[in-house]
Amino acid sequence: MSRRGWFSLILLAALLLAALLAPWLASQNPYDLATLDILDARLPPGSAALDHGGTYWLGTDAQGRDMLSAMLYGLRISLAVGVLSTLLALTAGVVLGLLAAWHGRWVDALIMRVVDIQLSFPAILLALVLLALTGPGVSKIVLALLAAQWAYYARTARSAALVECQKDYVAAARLLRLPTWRILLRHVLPNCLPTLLTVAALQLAAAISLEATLSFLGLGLPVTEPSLGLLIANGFQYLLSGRYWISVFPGLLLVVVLTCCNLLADALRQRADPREAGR
Amino acid sequence: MNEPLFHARNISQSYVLANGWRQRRSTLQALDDVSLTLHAGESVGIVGESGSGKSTLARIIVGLLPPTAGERYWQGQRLPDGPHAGIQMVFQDAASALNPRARVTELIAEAPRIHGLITSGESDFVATQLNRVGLDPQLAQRYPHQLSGGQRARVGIARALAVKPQLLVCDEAVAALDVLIQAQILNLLQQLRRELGLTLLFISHDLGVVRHLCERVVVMHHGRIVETTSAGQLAGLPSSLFRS
Repeated sequence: MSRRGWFSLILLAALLLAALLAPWLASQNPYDLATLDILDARLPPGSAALDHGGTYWLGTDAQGRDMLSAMLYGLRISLAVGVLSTLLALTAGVVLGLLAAWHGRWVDALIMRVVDIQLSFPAILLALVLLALTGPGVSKIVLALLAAQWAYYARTARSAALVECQKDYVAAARLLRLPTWRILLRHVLPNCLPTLLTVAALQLAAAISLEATLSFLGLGLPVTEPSLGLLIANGFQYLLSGRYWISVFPGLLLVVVLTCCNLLADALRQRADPREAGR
Repeated sequence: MNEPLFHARNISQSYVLANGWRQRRSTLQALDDVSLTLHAGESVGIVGESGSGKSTLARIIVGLLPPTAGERYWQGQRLPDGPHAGIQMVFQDAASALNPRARVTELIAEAPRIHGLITSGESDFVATQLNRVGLDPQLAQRYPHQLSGGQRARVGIARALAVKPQLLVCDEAVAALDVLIQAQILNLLQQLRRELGLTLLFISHDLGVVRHLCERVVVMHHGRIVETTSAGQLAGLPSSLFRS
């Protein structure tokens, strides 16, 4: 893998670790109201706290919340929602894509027409409609993202599986009368994985940014579980009054996460593509 | 005379080339009323130029492709569409016929394990199978891309034989190999046929290869069987068919 690929992978792993360890890394629990001090509200980055000795390295928001702590907790939720919905959509898409490729005929036609209809809707519109119907909540936004993204995986899995099914090793497996599920899971799927992982890394970025967008619009996660998108929304009204840090730092963190995912996807694509193997 | 091992009766296969809106439906007749009988222990060759329908016939015989018309019989019993335990195939391109992500041991032992053909230890089983095709059992942990072309061809043969077939169909099995390795693989097939009492159907465009291995030769042209002779007479055969 390229140096850029390794760099993005390590940075992403570090962010994931920071998100997992947020309760231990953060200096305060930003959603425990007892730990907040309203007198510390809207302090610029680097300010000292009034009553205890701590420093707010990235400033505080309107409730006197430490931005660094809030971002660690926000990252935790953003990544959890993104990863969970990506895994679910990947599984659903792969199962349906493999079925379509293997069975062909009307099964293929049915699944792929649903995929076509699904992909002709903008993902954000579909997620907005679903969330408007179900209301906010972590499980609901994961479901909305799953509904918005499974079709990409289904289409990719189908086309990759169609290529593999043409190869003689699949014919050999059929002649050896291996069970169909075994041929698909043990023979076809592992050979489709490089392509699928590339799409998954790309769609992970899409899922995180879609969730951030929905949360920014106030439709995603409830205020008690703020993701990066909601943190950006919280500071939005102070942006023009010079208190940039409330929105800008969560925004920067989001940009870093998305860039890492995209770089990683690019590196995975180069690995999977034999035409680029020599570069 | 006793029941033949395998019999294909009146096999026809046609492909639809164009069947769209306001398009005239046109078909390609790949096989036209082909019948073929194989007796146990026999070694039969099918020769013909490219596009004569040899490979299509092979895929129909092993059950990978359902024919448009015609039936297959196994020891007198009508075979349903689909693969049959007693018929295995050795493919032309051994590289694409082996799952690139499976080790040799898994390639060979997977199907016998599932069908309950391995009675003692699996590594012993794989070693026996590898020895039989003249491969070092130490290759068992390799991946296909770590093998030479000849070794891959042998693994392909070992995999087919591991499920104890009676009929082995070789579709251009040596066409992709160089002449020296070709001779080795042909000798191996000859020897295995004698040892295991296999029936061999050998498909090739190479008359020399077929003459070396087969007792009876079937000549195909444009999806039909145009001639059946003994291999000895093949030398004088090239009638109008092979001139162009």
